[in-house]
Amino acid sequence: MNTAASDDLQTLIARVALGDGAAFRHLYELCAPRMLGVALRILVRRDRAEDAVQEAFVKVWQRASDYSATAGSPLAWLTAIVRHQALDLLRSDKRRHTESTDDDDEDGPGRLDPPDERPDPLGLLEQAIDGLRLRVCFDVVPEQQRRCLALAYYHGLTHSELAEHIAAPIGSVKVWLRRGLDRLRRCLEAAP
Amino acid sequence: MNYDRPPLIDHLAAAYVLGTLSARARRRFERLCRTLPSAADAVRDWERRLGGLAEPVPPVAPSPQLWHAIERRTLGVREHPETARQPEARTRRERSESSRLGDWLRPLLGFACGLLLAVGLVRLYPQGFVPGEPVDETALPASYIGLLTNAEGQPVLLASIRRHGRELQFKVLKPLTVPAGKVAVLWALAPNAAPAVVGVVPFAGGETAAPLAKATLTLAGSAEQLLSNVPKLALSFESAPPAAGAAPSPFALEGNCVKLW
Repeated sequence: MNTAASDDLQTLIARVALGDGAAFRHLYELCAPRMLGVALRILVRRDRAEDAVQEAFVKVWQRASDYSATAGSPLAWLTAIVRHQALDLLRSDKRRHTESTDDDDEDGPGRLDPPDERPDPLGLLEQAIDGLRLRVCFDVVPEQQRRCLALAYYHGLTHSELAEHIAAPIGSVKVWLRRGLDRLRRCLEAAP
Repeated sequence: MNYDRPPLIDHLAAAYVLGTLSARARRRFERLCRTLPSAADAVRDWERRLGGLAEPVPPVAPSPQLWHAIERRTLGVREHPETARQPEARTRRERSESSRLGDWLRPLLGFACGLLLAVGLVRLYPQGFVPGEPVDETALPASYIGLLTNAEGQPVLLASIRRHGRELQFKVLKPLTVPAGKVAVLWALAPNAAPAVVGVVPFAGGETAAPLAKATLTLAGSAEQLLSNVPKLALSFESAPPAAGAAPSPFALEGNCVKLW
């Protein structure tokens, strides 16, 4: 999203903080499709993804005054809100399915059901890296680390689910993610 | 776990935002964020960093019901034209069923309704029928009160709101002129935080609000949510409602905000 559009979103959020219903509707129209896309990647089920977006917008209405430009772009703020909602729903749905506590250090194999048939999200991560102009900096990150980052960010997999998904020890997964995130941070800090 | 180590906080915040923590670990970390500002800051930093990764995700058009559900929960809109027909149909059906009850039942229903009305009135206004409990009419309700003064220290504007209310009431104590083309913006001044916009006070630009003039501002949340940690309020004149995070113009009025309970 360009700077002008980002400024527009900031203004809308400011008006929402003042209780402006029309601004809230406009913000929804501009951002809900993108937020639903993000939630759908994580939750797969359309109805649950809409639940996540619903919860996210209720939070936006209640907490618009918490937004400040230092929190990043308005879209990054909105994306974070809907991702947290989607992740919470995903965890709670899985807990209901397995009827057991979900602690990634205790998770054993065979916890994922049904089989994950979503396409590999690595392509999305590559597009994002290009979009953020981090290609040269990020190219040193091995593909396995990128795949872990992509599966975690776009599909909401926990450490143990990632380990199972890519058939690697959970310790390795944690190290790869850490290195990948550290590299991403350095790339973003070095970006013009 | 030793949360005093900044690298650990940063690592947990990254995992929380990325989404790799289990449900239990997420809850644990959210509790930590509520008590440890550095953890909340680390989350914000990672949300800002990772936000760009969502850019290539294709948007998906939501169903029309989604906005209706959000609208009901936020703007208080209870019903929409497409759903309003259902209660209407139900009313017609109920009317038709009631006609089958027979004439003999109507006097009985009338008596029952009368009895219910009488009981309801006695319960609602007991003092009108039986001696009531003594009420302490001298006690003021739990409220937030702000007294804004000018540069000379003279009280100009009184702001008050019930503790759990959303309607912030203003009463002008000394003439207050809003410059033409400007809006009067109320700011919350919390310790160790930048001034935060509370809202636009609806006094017309280019006019002077006379003493005893009143105005109301509907807040985005309850007073308890917005003002519980706000010891001071301030008023500035801005060209337009400021964006969140914007810096205020010099304050025209400023004063203490106190809890009245």
